[in-house]
Amino acid sequence: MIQAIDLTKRYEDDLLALDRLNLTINPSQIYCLLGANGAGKTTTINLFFNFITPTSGQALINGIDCTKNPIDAKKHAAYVSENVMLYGNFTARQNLDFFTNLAGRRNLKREEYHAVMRQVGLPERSFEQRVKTFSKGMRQKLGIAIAVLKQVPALLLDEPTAGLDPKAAADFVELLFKLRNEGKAILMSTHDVFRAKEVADQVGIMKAGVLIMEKTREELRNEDLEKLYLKYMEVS
Amino acid sequence: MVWIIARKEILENLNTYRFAILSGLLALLMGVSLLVSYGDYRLAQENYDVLRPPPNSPNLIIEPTPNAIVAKGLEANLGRLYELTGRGIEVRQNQQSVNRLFSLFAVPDLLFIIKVMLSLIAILFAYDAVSAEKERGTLKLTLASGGERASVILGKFAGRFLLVFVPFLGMFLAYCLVLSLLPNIQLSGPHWGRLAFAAAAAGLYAFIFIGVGIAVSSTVHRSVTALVFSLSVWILFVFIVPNLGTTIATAVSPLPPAERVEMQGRLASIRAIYESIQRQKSPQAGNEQLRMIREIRAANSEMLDSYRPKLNGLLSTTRTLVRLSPAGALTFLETDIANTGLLEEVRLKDAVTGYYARNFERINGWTKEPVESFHYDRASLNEVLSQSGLVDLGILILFGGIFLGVAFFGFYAYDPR
Repeated sequence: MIQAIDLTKRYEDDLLALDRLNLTINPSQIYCLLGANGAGKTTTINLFFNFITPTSGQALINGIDCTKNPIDAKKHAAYVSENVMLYGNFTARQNLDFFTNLAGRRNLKREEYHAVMRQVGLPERSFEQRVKTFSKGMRQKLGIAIAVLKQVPALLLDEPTAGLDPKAAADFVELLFKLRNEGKAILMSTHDVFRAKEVADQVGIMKAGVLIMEKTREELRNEDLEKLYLKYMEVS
Repeated sequence: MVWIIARKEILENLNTYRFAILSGLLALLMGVSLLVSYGDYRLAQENYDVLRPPPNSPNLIIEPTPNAIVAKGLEANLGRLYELTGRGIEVRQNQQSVNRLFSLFAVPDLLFIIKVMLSLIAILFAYDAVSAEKERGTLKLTLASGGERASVILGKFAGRFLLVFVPFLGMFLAYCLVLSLLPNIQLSGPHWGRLAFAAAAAGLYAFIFIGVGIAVSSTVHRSVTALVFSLSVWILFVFIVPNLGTTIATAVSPLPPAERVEMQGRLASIRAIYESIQRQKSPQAGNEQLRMIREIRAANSEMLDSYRPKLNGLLSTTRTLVRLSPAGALTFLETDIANTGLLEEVRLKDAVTGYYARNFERINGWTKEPVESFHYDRASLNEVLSQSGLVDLGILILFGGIFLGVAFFGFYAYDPR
């Protein structure tokens, strides 16, 4: 479970990046945070990984406070960024090996790495290729493979489909559904309204650090999310 | 987890041009250094063979040490001929100059390579350890994947240190092996002990500059900035502090040049000789030659008594100031270990003046006994360590600890975004 309780972040220059955010993402649920650039989506994810510390409030993963026990909290969450950056001189498998070792999973066999890379849709020939030759889509897939191999109950994805070609994005969505069905709680920030409507069990719209709207898939069934999003962006 | 990070650091850098070029240059420089320094040693040995006085001669010279190949230090001074006469101790400066061509340039002994090249390589391998990961975006994923900050920074230290030191150690061993096989070089157990100690000190020194690079990298957010700051610290430590330290020490503890003191000694001798000749003309003249020699000795002793405390003061101030730089502490440590440093020079001077005092009457022929044969052993490793080596070693460890601490705390507060 991913949970934010009155989570607030004010930077040193007095910019209020996040204002008392409250949200709960249960297992087998995909939550999409929608918002324009600077709305506070990435700040939210950064707080869950303790890249920055909150001004007040709590970020919890599986009930563990991400500020007080960041190491423990990170054991239960995986991260995929907008632009997955890996070690270019390493092969795809070597990158997987390094990050899964960091996550505490040791002595995995070459075949296990290959199986996960197959699962995320990486072509077979790329498994032992250096990552510096990879396209953005391939790197995103490898980033997902790292997250999958970590075998954690929570996934936090920061604009993971940005810049992906349609085929790669479709593959990615399919993978997300699969992970949700495995019981993962997934928080995905995006500014892609269509993608959010396609995958989300719940959608939150953020503006200037404030969660201004929250609706479930059922509530959105008879609504046009794009119009709703534009309306909130203009009105609030 | 530290080893996972360290292993990644090593593997990531191992097949890069940076590693290949810097390691290649280091190997090349060490090879050239061995050739040049061995040539210097052979010339010094030839000088010694020519100048070596017969037994019971009042002239003294000590045999060159092969350790000077590793750290030349003050070996040119130590290898000078001391002529002991009734007028005092005279040092012959006009020996054959060793390797004139390379005296035009910085002396490329192994100590120079360690002090300048190894530290520069350490900086070049460390300056981007953290900042480049931030720029690439891998730092966030590393930390999000479970990398504890303490383990990440320690792993980076370990990885980058091994990346610099292990190739150096390999080259150092090859260097020592070739050295031991060269004609006229006999390395005994104590020599190997000193070489091992020198390698360990070099490792500590490399660790300090790895620390400088990582500490800077953990406090700035761009690799270019980290490179500029790291190189600035390197220049400060390797060139500015040691040179400025000696300049300030000279200003704080002024000392007349040795040449001037020697000149004053000669003038005192000439005056005593002149007065002796004048007195001999007098009908009351006694044993004027004996009186003259005693006057010369008294004048020289007086000069030495006033000069030595000033010299010791200057050496002490210099040591203190230069030790504010790891390069300074390393130079003192390595040259003292190699028996070519300040410690050895002071020991030799003490031995020569002691010998002169003990044999003064014999040198002047006042007794029939022959002068003692001069026997001098360079300082043992234990003596070096107890005299000054442990202090220099402690300073190097302190520098290493400081930069490790700065890197550690810098990275703890580092924003990986």
